[in-house]
Amino acid sequence: MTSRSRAADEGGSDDDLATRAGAGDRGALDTLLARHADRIHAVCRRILGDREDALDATQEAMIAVARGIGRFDGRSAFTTWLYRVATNAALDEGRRKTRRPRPVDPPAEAAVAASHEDAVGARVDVDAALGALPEEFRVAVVLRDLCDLDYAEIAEVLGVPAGTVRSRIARGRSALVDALGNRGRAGERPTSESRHTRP
Amino acid sequence: MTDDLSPDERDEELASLLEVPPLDDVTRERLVTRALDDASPRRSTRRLARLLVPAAAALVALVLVGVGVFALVNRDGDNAGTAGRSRTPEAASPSQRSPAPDASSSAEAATGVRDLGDLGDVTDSGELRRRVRAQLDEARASSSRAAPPRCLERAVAGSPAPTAYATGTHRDQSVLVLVLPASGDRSTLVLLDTRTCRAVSVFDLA
Repeated sequence: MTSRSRAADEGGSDDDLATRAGAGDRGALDTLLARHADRIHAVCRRILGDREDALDATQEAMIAVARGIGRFDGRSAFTTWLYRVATNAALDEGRRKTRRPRPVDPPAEAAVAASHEDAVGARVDVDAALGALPEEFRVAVVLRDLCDLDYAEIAEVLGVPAGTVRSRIARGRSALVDALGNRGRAGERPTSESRHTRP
Repeated sequence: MTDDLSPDERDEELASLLEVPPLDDVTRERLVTRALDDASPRRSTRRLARLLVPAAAALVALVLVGVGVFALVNRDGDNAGTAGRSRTPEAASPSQRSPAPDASSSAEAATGVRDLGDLGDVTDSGELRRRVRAQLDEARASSSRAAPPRCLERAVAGSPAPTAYATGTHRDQSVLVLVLPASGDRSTLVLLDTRTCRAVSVFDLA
């Protein structure tokens, strides 16, 4: 364990650290960022699906946290605010990515990538299945099942009613089951029709 | 996986699939350090300075140019005012007033030769002599010319140099009358065509 990761486990509660960091305590901000770097990265990784894009989004989110910590007012839990920042960074990165021209994998590389996916198994399939979900479903499922936020918190993060959150989670999970259920059938990917066949 | 769950409950199986391995320490360190650096006041100050320094330089340059233009305009204005005052000497203060230059003395000063003024039509040699003598007898010439007439400078540079000069017309032609010293008390009057500076007539002046 490095000095930074040790520091991440010390220093008090998130709210206390956030208060001190907001007042200009660089050490508190350091501890807070190190403590939550993995969480931020996990959200970005699952929303974006691509490791490099996720790292870029993680960096942007951490910069946004560092710059905006003074505006955290403590009305919501620090993690709720943190996940909102991370989600927005990931969505922004995803939009930038769609505007950027992406290199097309040549067939040989695609074959290698496919065999690699087979080797790592279900985790890679989760990326593919999540990637096939509409963005709003994917984000809702990630925030619920990965980040363990409750409906009210997800509603706050996304700025939508709790009922909408419930609907998105239900439909997202259903589509994921369909997608992951197709795992054994080579070459099949969840389609928009399969995503929307279940409520 | 989800069939037996209400949406309110966390899907633990899905949660385990969604888990992401933690970042390695080096990557985490790099991300945190960069975020801290980017948000530090020192860096913000540098960023601010990067924005403000060129803006301040541009502002200073603008002010300097403005001051220069203002000074130039004011100086021109002062000159114009001075010129205006010089055109209206009544408006000038007594200390600024200078005596009006004597035109004849000005012309004489330029050449060092006495100016007898304009003699009018001197086609008649007798009339020419009479008018020249009359002007030479005057204590002071009545000429008001500000500059020496054409051809005078060349005549002054020659030998013998004229002792006096006048202008007039000879056969409807503008002429310069030069009084040149001769032997004894005698003088010679030479009439020069002012267009060509060539002599058109020569007379003795007893």
